[in-house]
Amino acid sequence: MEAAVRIEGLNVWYGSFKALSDVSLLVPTGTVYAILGPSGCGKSTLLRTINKLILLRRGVRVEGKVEVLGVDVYNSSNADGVLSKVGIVFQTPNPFPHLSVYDNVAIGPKLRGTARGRELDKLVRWALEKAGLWEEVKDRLRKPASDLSGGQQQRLCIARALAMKPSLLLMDEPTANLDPLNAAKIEELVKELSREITIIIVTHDAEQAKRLASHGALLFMGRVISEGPISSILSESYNDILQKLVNDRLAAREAKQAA
Amino acid sequence: MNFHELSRSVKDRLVFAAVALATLSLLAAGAHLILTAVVEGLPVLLERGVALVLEPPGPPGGRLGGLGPSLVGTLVMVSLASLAGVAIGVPAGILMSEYPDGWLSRAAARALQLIAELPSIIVGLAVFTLLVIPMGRPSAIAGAVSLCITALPYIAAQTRESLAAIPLSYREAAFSLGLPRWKAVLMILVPMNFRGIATAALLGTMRALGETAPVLFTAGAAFFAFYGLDRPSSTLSLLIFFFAQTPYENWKRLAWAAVLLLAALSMGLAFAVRKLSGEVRL
Repeated sequence: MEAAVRIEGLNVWYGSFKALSDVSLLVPTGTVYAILGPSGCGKSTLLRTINKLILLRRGVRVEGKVEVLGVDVYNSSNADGVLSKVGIVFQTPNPFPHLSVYDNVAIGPKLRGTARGRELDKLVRWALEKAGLWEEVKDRLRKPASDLSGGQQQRLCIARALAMKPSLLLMDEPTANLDPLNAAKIEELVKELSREITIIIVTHDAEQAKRLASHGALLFMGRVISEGPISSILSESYNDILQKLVNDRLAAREAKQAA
Repeated sequence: MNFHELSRSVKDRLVFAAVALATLSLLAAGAHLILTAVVEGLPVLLERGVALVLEPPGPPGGRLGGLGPSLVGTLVMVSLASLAGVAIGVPAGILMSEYPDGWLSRAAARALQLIAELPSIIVGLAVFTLLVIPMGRPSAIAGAVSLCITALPYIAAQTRESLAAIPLSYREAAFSLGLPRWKAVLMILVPMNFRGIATAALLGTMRALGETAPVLFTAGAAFFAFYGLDRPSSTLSLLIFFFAQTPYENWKRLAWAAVLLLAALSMGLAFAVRKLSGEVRL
């Protein structure tokens, strides 16, 4: 099976805190891959390790191999080239507040010099259509992006990522801050986009993972508990799994104290 | 009310009175400062009208005259100093904020820290030895250079702080577009922070406008005409410093008018800074 992302023996520290321990996983090309787990288990860290955004945080240390679209992004001179094919959508919509709707989508290709003039207009329209936002904003492309509603801003951020023509799209709990209706719209979008590109989506919602993903990994306390087809990692109920993990941990601690 | 409650209420009142007194005395000092400038300066302003900012001062003890040459000198030196300060300070601030671990960035931070800690008269002395002596005379240029050096640390620090205040989430978005780091910084984060950088520039201008010590040895004391960039010049603050010490009534009155003018310019800039920095929308 061809891999969009292959991670081997990944360890990540924030200062002395170890956020990820010995993570290995494989994201097959063309799938929707869910990274599941409770809050604070390292999901977002793992996602940001794939496109190296993690390095923006101070005191961070990354060890291990992260191969994205066939390139080891921490040890290759071609990392920037590959990462320009990786888009990301964040948990909280974050369109650039000083730019218009149009410029938010256009800025990536414009600054990279991959499109200009009418070609750029077409690309922006294409990305906004893909993100299901074109009809709502086509008459106010020049208005500030901050005028849009929360759900629209999130779809604008998806359009911004799509304008990079990514082969891989990372999504960090993209529906967590949206109402159910807007969340459903984003889920529909994920399904549609997954026909063309590989998507890695972070979620703490097992039902959402089942609805969207074919493969996934379950994280707990910075470790991968299980990985593979979504049906196999969620064969038991998610809550049961978490309950069991917490119990195991408590038991281990008690055993340690007893000894 | 028992004794305990009573003592608490007395203490509360005492502390309140002390705080109120401290606040009032500060306010009174400030009010006195501004009132004196207005009371002493305004009549001169009203008497001379536009001539105050156009004409040179009158002869010692003679007619009043105006502040023209010193005002021109101030505007020229402060503008040059601010422009150069922005041209050097903003890139330095960007460097310090976005590449804090680079050697150049560390060196810049050290140098700017040093300048900020140095009494500003020493900056004036340094420019005196480096520019005034080789040129053979004080000049508007030398004055501008010393004002620029004084303003630099403020411009750079304000630029750095305003960039550092950009929320991580916008930073992540900017760095996720597959752009080289410098491009994401210069083409996305810096424009996003336009207000912060404009504030930095204004703060630097304010600093340059108010300083006297750096220009003491460098700008000259040519109060009666503006002779050009490479010739002796003067600023309003220098005029205040020199004219206030003379026994001549007309020069003392001009000094007061200069105080009022300088205070008005500074407060205008401070108002603009507050307007700008208060409306940062991120």
